[in-house]
Amino acid sequence: MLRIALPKGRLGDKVYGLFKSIGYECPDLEAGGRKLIFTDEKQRFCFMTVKPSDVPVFVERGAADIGVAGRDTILETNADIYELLDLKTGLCKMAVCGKPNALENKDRPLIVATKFPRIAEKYFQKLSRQIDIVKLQGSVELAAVVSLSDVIVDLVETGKTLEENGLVVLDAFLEISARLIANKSRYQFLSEEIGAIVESLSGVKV
Amino acid sequence: MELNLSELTLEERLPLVLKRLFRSYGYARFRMSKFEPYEMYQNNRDFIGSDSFISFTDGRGRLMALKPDVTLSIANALNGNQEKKVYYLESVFRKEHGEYREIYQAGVEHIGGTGADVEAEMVKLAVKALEETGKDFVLSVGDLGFLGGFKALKNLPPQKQKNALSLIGAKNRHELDAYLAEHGIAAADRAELSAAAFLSGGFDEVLALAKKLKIGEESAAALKRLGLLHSTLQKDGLTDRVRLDFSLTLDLSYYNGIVFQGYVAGCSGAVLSGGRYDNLMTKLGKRDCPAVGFALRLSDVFAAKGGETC
Repeated sequence: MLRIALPKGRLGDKVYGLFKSIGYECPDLEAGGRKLIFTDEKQRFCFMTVKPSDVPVFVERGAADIGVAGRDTILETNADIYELLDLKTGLCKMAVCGKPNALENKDRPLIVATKFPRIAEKYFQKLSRQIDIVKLQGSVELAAVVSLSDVIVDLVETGKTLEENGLVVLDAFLEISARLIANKSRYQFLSEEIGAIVESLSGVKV
Repeated sequence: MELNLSELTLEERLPLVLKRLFRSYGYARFRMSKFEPYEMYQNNRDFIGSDSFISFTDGRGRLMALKPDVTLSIANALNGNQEKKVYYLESVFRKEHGEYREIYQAGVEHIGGTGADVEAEMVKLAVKALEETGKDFVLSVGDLGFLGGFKALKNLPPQKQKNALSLIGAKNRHELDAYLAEHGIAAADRAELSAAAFLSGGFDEVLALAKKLKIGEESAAALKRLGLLHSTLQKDGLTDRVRLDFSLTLDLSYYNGIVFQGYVAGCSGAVLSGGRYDNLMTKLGKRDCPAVGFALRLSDVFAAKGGETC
């Protein structure tokens, strides 16, 4: 039975739609409820709904054979997985944001608030800029507004939240989208089915 | 008193049957101490693939490490002029997934041996070792010489080559293409590489497909080697246990030529890893010394339970 990890939320719903269109319909999932795993009536596959940032972990550890995760979570967790397809949905950017002059003071380490410490470290390392990371779980924009940090490294979609709070995008440095990922070991045993899914999904209009 | 192998647990049985297997192929046991000077491991970090060794200062004030790897010590200790076939059953100590772990490993090294037979024997041994685990398994074989022959990779500086190989290793087609395009590789060269690097499947099938591709001399030579390997495996009826997967990559500064990885049902990562590492021998000052081997992570095999993962 193929085990597929879907991210909870809007992206997961959209991705389920894609799977449904290529033959992986799951009435159990559509019925909703408090279940965490939804199995196909013929036991050919099952979907599990997972916190988006945890999808790469579930797949890396083999609890799911394949999954869909944003490039941001894949990079942040640094999961050792196969990244088989860019689904070209869930599009947004990873950006350094803050008040317009936030990057100017180079006399002291830059305070960076983020949900993505690893990505932030890597970015500033390339600039050889010393930083002080404040790891937050949510409402990251607030950190820049109340000056908890100088800047934030966060996902930006429309930019409306930033605008309404007097913040700007200082550098959008990564293009983010949802990716189909696979467990390296499970792929060896399931390459045919997974390969077929990759083919079908790449042909679907998002 | 008769001892029946089937009465033993997998933990007790596997080391014994592997010893018997390796000895039957002419390998002799290599034993080593638990710690070695830290320097040797530090100089060859990428070979070990780990940034964290467990280190301590000994009575004389030297920085030592609990050994994170056995191959390096064997490669260092053996005189490159003689052909040596050794096996080992040792614990290594590494930091993985944020935790310090003891990993019980069985491995073989064939140093100083030349010829296609040497590689064929190594792959055969790997298949048989995986068979002894009693679990469903897959052995995948790749070749760095094959990949290295492509223009798209050849002309890149070492760090960029490493990044490209990393993307190939993740089967990340779209990002590989974007990365190579970003670094000025022509579309035709990129397409040539993609057509080859992501080929994987049954040995027979993939070899046939690869032969039809547009490739250079180096890659053709690698295919020839793989063809020889194929015939030898065929004679022993092992071709259906082995897949060809050109996306298999290991560090180019140590490995050249054939690389292979084994996967066992119930384990989330590769439990067996090996290949030809002539480059490491050269790095250790033993020029023109062919070396090929593999290691099997027994701790992971023991931890695999039907359906659950390690």
